[in-house]
Amino acid sequence: MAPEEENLSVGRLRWRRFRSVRRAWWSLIVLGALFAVSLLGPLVAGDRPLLMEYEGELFVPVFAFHSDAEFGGSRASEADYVALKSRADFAEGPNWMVFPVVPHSPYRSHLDSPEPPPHAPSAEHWLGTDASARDVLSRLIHGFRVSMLFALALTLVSAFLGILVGGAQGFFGGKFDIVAQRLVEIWSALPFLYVVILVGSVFGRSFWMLLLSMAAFGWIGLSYYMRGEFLRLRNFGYVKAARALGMGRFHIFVHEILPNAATPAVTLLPFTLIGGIGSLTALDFLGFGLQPPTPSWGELLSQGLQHLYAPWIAVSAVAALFFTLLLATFVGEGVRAAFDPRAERR
Amino acid sequence: MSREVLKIEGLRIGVKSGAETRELTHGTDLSVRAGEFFALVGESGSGKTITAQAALGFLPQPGGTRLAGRVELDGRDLFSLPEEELRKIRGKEVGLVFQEPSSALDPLMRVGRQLKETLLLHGGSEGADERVREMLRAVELPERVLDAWPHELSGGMQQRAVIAMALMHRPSLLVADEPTTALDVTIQAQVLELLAKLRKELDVAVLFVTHNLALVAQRADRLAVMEKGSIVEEGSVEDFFRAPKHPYSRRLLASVPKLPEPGRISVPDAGAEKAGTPERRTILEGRGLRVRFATKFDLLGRPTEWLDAVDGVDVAVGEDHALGLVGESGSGKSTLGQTLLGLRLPSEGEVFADGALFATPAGLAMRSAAEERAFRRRFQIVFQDTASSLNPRSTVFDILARPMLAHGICAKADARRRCAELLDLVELPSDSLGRFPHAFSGGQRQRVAIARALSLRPKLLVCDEIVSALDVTIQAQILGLLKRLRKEFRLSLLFIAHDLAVVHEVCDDVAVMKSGRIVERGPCAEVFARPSDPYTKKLLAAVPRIGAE
Repeated sequence: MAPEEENLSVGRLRWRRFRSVRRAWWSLIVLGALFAVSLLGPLVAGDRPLLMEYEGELFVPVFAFHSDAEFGGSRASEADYVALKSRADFAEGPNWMVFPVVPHSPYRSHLDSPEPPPHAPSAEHWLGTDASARDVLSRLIHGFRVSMLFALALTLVSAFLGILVGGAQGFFGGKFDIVAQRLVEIWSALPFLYVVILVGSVFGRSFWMLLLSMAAFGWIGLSYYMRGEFLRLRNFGYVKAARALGMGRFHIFVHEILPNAATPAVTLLPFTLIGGIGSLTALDFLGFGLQPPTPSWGELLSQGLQHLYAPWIAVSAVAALFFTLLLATFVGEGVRAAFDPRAERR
Repeated sequence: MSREVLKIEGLRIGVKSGAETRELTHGTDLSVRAGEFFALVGESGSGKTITAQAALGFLPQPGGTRLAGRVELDGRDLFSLPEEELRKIRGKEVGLVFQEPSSALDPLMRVGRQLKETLLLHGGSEGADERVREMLRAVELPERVLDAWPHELSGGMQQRAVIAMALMHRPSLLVADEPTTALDVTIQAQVLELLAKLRKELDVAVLFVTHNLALVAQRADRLAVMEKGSIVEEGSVEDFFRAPKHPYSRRLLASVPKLPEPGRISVPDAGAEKAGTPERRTILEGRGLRVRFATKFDLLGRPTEWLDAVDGVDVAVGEDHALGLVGESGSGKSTLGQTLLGLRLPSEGEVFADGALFATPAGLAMRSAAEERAFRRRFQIVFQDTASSLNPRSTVFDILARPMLAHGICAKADARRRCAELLDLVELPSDSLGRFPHAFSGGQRQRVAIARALSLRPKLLVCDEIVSALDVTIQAQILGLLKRLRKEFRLSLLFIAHDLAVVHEVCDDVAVMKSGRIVERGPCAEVFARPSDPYTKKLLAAVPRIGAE
């Protein structure tokens, strides 16, 4: 070990090692940037202007509600800015508006074209429109945000439950462990897909309901790892020493064992994320996922399958899914390399 | 002067990692003559194993490279030979014995088959069975071993089998790399004796790599001392032990804890005897302790056979008192230590701390966590394995401060100063506070572990083989530290060790454990001078001594 590395914590050393895996580091940057962009949502893809001037007054419609009536219309509902822009009196005055990069809402159907949907890619719709004449790119961007948020939340909840259950089993061991392990096995034998469909049809399909029912099964794999790690580590010298020092159970669990048992958890996280994205897409594809018209990649995929003559739908969705999963896998690879115990013993 | 079997000249071996090459041996010269017992002595990291392995044409992996020098075996330069030729020489003209016999044997192959395979590797199958039996007799193993699996043999028997394999082709040189270090002292003596006998019978030169000077004193003809990749002294064993020339050699020799010859010690008269005085107050006591582990289970998972790791032991440590607990591996001494601290519950018997009931088979006797903490505070433990006894994710400051804060010994604002004091106490620089355990050497980590144990100002320290994984010079420093701490804090010790000489150096009284029982106990001087139990006698006789020949 080089002398300047000597005083780094294990975590810092691993972070360095992760960054030295260039493919992983770049994938993390790209994936992070894409996610950040998608988090901006309507600022990137939407049909409300970022900024507009109407009769000498400035408006920020992307953040504030303005009714049609405020802009010389008759309805009290939200103004249709696309229509407004092309209205004769708007274009004649000193009025202007700036739309986001992708000036289409993921929900708006563009039925003004003489062609029946889906429309092929054009200057207006870069990736074409889907069967309901909605902009594919806009739906991809919003779908990415939904997928990532869902998968991240699922990963966090699963990790928490997995660490808690597996950790407690390994920490206490003995009869508690045996009984808990049998219960976990029974639980894991439940067919997860049926449960998700059942819960969805009883309580309705929503983001949170889906998250809850998927998290209820997602933690099991991790809990096995955590149980094993805790069982192994609780016999280590520093854990025994902490017991001899009279440290509390909570302290030993959180400060002594957990940081050292976290390796399998952290190594698994990117792959849990990938699994989350995949499962959500699959459920949406089958129609058991999120409530339409939520923008979703799985729903786009199933449209692509139904409209194979409009290949831009399927190609866009598959390509987006492919690259996302590829990037996440590269990140996972880097994490695994960073946590490789063989590298630590050099 | 007899023929030189092995001649190493100006050997410099380095390890490449990335663009830089780190040199591990700096021009080593040594020669082993035919039929000679040559010892290569050094502490960990001195380059002794790298040098010894070069005698077989091996380089450290990965990235090992020979920078300069040559290794001649029977006149042939090994590193100029093609790999194919080298392979024929290894095992045939030079045999190798490792430290850990269990990893040198294939666990999935019967011993007999492994022995025979070694033979077939370099020659015809004619008379193979006969030769295997012959070697088996030579290493004094019974023939039933042929049909046994490696795990069915004891460590000593495994090492005998490995030696038989190494000598199967009647090599002219046997390289033995710490062959007895993993073995108990009585077994170690047997294996050494066997090596000495075989050397005469088969006229094979032995290159014996070890950290243990006492072993060398008993058996070797000549020796070389290595330090930091260089040989600092080479010569005959008699000359070396009479007057070591190099300062490092002298330091090494001075660090070896010495056990006086039985019979030569003047037994102290009863008046001067400090140890075991009855008025000393007992602070930790085990009565009728038994700890059993289930070893076999029936179909329903109910235990059917038990092993009594601790088999009815009464033991007591008094105030300002150091009790040594010695025994070979598996004697139950560590289990006893952990049971006395309540880290493991006894199956029978009770533990008393300061006269109050502390642990029973049903659990700890305390009613509340606070009460338990108050008990815990007085009794601390230090472990053998320094790599696992400190949390790799905590800084030294966290390691030392957390217990003190949990016990309310010092305020948060005061913690840093108190930790620095503790480091000072164990002679570590105070800038160590922000560092992580992996930045320290084994000896330094052991000091941190001692500091952690002392952070609560305990009355008694259980030292579980705390120096057995350390180099002898470091061992001497740690023992010196312990003795000083004892005096300064009137600290009591329960000193668990397999090394009798170490116990003799630190303890007032000693208890000898065998198969879970204490077979003999008494003041150190008395037990070591006039052992009464046959096992103690055997143990003492097996201890290698400097100047015994």
